[in-house]
Amino acid sequence: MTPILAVDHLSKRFPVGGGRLLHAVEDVSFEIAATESLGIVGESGSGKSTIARLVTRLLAVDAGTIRFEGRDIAVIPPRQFGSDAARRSIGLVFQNADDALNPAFSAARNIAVGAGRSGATGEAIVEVAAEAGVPRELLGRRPHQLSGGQQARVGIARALISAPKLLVLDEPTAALDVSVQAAVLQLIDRLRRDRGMSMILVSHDLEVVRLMCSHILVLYLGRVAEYGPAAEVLRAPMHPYTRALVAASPGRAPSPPLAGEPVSPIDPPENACLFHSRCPLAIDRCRTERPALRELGDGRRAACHRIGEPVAALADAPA
Amino acid sequence: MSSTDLVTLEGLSIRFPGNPAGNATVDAASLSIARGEIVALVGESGSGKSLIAHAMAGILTPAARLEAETFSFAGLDLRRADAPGWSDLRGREIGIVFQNPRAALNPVRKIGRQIGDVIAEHRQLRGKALREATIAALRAVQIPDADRRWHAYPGELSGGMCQRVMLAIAMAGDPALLIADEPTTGLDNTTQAAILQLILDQCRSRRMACLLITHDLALARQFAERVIVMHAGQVVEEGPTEALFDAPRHPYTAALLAATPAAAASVADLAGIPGSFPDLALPLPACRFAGRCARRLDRCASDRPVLTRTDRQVACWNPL
Amino acid sequence: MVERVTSPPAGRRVNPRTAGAAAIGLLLVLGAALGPVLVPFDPVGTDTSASLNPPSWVHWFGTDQLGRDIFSRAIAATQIDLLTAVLAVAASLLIGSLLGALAGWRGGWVDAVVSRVLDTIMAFPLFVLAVGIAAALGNSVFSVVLATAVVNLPFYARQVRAEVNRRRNAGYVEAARLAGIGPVTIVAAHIMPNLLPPLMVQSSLNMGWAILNAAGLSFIGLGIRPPQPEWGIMVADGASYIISGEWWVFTFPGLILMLAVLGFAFVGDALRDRLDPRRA
Repeated sequence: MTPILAVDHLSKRFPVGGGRLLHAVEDVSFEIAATESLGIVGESGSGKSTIARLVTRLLAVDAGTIRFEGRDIAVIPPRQFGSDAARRSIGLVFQNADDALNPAFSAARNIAVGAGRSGATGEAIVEVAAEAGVPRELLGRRPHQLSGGQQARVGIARALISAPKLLVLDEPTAALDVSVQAAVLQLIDRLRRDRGMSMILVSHDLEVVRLMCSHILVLYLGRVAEYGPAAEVLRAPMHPYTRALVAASPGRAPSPPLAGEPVSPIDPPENACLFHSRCPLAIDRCRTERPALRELGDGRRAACHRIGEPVAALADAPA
Repeated sequence: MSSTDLVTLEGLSIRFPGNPAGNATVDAASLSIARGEIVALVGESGSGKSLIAHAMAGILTPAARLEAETFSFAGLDLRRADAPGWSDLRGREIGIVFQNPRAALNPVRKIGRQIGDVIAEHRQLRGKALREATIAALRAVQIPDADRRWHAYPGELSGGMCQRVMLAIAMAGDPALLIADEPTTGLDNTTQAAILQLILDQCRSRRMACLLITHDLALARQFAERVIVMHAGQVVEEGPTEALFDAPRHPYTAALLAATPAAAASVADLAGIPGSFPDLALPLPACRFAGRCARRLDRCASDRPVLTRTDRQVACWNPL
Repeated sequence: MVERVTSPPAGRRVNPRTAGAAAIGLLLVLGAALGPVLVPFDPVGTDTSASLNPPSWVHWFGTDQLGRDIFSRAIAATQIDLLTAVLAVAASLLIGSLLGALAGWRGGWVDAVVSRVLDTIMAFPLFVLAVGIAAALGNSVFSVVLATAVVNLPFYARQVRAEVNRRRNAGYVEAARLAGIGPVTIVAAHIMPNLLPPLMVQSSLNMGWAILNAAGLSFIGLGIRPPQPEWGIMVADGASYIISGEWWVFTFPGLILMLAVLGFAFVGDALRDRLDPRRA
């Protein structure tokens, strides 16, 4: 079965002056099968938002391939993707900050933007808005006249109007109150099932990913730390960073916070695990050899030298 | 509430003149904080929790009108912002940590100097003694390499580091109360845990009371001894953390818990709260949650429920 | 994270400032359109026997040294001053916005080139540029308009450049790009409407400035030539009579000039209030 999206060795680097490069995304690979949902988690600087923009072709790719329905779209530069057939099949929902919606447009016109140059008929807008829970009366309002939850729904309607097969959501509920978030998450889940969409959910909140996604991809400083079925990975994380992330989720049993300074993402060392400076299990090998992403069975992968060692050896790891 | 409490609020209302319906943004809130106690003030946006914090710290916007039956800190009556000794009090006895630490720090002044300014003000230290005290303050908030970091500018530091600097500034006067207003919003999870643990440890070791303001219930549960829940400017429930979370009595508290992803086993278990946040520009029922409450009674619209005075305080005519 | 729902505006109450602006604006336009026809006296007709008469019921603003009715001249001058100002401001607004949008959106070397051009223009004082243009293209109203437009251009260009640049990575712009909408459409139809309020305010204030400039240039002999009535020339003429006491020769034109500039400022405020997407 061809996965709907297959990303291979994706890389993106940003020049930061003086010939130096910030490795935002480095050698990231994953796939998504039809109707599957992948949660991409990581902290700030992990590259998760960059990946969302690479997949939706808002950014140019430096290396790697992005196969959408079998076809490599990474070769299409952002400027030309607008005319590509695949464009309508990928939708993007933004974090509901002040500028997710155009303040000068009504809700209806904002939704119509999602339909691109061809525009959308009034009925189409009303229909997709209703599906997203935006009542007709609100369609004439400007974004500042809508509540946060309503704005989020308009953003979702905008992404859906082109009937995408893959929906990418970048922190869609981060700015919302808990009670509103619950409703929006349920809406997203229902829409995904009703329309049979595949989904990429970028989030810093592990609990949201646990609820919404079948699989999870954990990023650290642009590289994949761990991948696998969401429930399994969160229940029994294998990579030390994933373990630290899970432990840091509010409400979990508190564990000693990570000490040490993160490695700089600018011109990072080629031959070291990027997590070694903060990893409680780091050994010499971690400083001299970058761990490859290994298959660990049951659909799980992780990039760590120390996975598979007997538990006793892990317990008294030198710093 | 006892007379030995550090902070006592009774019937505190904060209004913004010009509200078309005459609604108060904070509506007759009552709460207390004992010395050394760690209390979480929990609510969604618009609950008024930040306004109360600002009022306590004396930095309420001048456009707001405050009235209260009781509003005291360590015996000092704070109902008038120009009460004698108020400003002296603020820096020394009350420390505040805000969200977005980078915005609260002066970007063109070294962090060592910023902390030093406050220490000098409250402890009258100068020169070498001041510098040593500043470095000690940096070490206390676990900033590594304190000697070198003294010279750093906020722009060179990460969000978590900046928040530690804020904390150092807030604690410089050795305050009796630390107000932390959403101190970890915007920080990574791992940093968040570290910062909160630091705040907790400092509070314990200095016997400092802490008012932690947050929208994150899980955070409150993890760090606070007592939790106060607010909705739309009204205090709805208050009680010891574990008891409140295990058995919430106010329908809003229960609804909030049900809406938290951490508490849900699957998406279907998540429960949003029906209706929308009350619009303060329109007339509101006496209990402002009445419009969205599944347990609403007729009297909820006309009679304001008061906090019942038992070990668990609930403002509800029909509690769970 | 403010969850505040504002209900749509119930109705528009008339703001005194808007009313004042509308009134002045209307007067100016009427004066410009119909002034020369409706005035009691011929604006250029001289009558040396009535030279330097103080204000009276016949000559409301008095007469100047050539016996011309100052009131008629002041009203008639509205046309030329308004026209000059409108043309100059419109030109610099349009061209400045275009350049600014181009620089703000493209960035890189395009931005660098445009910015240097703008810097160069800003280095020229208006009067030097005006004299230069007049020397090259002849001394006419067109030269004055051109000089004023060029000197004013960088302010619009920079404002638009900064605003477009700021919004380039906004969510709604990315959504439009994702939807395949071309950059020209995005800048023109999606971003520019958000810039209208500050631009409108800028333009209205500019109008006052443009009028003052036209007056200043005609003071030194560029652009409008006598006997055509123009506020600046009239003030210049009247300046020589300050000492001798014929105060009305410069006072009234000066007052009208001031009123016009003030009026444009009000119009700017009113426009901003109406066009602000958050209020409409």
